Amino acid sequence: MNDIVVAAEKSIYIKMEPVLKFLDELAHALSKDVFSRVGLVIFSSYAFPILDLTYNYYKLCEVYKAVRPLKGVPEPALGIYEAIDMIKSLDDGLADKRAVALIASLSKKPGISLVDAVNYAKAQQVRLAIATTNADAPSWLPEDIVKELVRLRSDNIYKIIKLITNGS
Amino acid sequence: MILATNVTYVVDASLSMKKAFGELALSKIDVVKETLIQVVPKVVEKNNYYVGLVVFYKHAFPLLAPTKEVRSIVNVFSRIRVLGEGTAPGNGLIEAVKVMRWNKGSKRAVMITDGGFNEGVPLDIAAIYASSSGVKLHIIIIGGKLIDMDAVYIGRAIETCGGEKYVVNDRAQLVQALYKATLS
Repeated sequence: MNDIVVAAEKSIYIKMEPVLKFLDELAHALSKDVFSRVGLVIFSSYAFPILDLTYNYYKLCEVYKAVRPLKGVPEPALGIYEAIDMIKSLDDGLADKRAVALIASLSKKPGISLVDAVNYAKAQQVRLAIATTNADAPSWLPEDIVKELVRLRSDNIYKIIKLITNGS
Repeated sequence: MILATNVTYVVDASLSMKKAFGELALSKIDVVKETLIQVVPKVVEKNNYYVGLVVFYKHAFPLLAPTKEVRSIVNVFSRIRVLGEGTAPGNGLIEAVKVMRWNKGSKRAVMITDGGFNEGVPLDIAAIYASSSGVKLHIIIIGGKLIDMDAVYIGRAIETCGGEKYVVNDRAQLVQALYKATLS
């Protein structure tokens, strides 16, 4: 059983379509595994929960669409911190795996360290997958993160879903 | 079995709440504090209510996790005060939903504000989270005058969460609005 939180950027920089496709396919994949819960955090220059961990997978797309693009430089680290806060706050003791899927444009250099947030996730034993809607990794992104970064395309969404649900 | 009702008050503690309110020389924040202390314990004693408190200015944080203990409620409510610049009602609503995350039964947030929203998560977007968490939102506007965008955000938030808006210009109206918002 998994507790999975998607931290999805909703800024003026992100392409919405790949994000919606990812959320839709994640909902579809999870519907075959009725013991997993999914939550959604939105971030731009700030991060906040929009859907607490639930078995109602098909709410993901609906609530993501309902939020208008937010101004400011996106801070993906805040998305990770808020997602981990949700996982810890709503831990019912039933999940044996916990994961965060970060979906970000990475189009602007953030002010808050993404490396620190990644290390925090590791220390909390939360599996983290980082996917970007941009074609290229930005130059400011540390090499350690670039190595594990996945470019979100319609033909590789299943890989990211596998990564957060199975760890491989 | 009677399910509990959870009510979390979300109080604006921004600088503008220092301004005088109504005929008495008291500030808005002091009138809100005294009225909450007058109304809330009566409601809790008569009903199966759990009461929480969140305050917001440019930040938002919980002061009281939902409880039925009247002494704790009065003690914490008596510490309500102006905290600083900025007004982030969306962050206040999100904190209110968070403090009620584990509580069973019906959930509602009662926000008391004089407007001037200028920080944090827009209120209408925070309302999507409240709605997806099954939290009804009532908003009491103290002082009665709002700028256009605040009115728009409040209208959208109320519509999303299925609550009511109350505009109050004196203490008697505030008492009435608090009873209605807390009980409905």
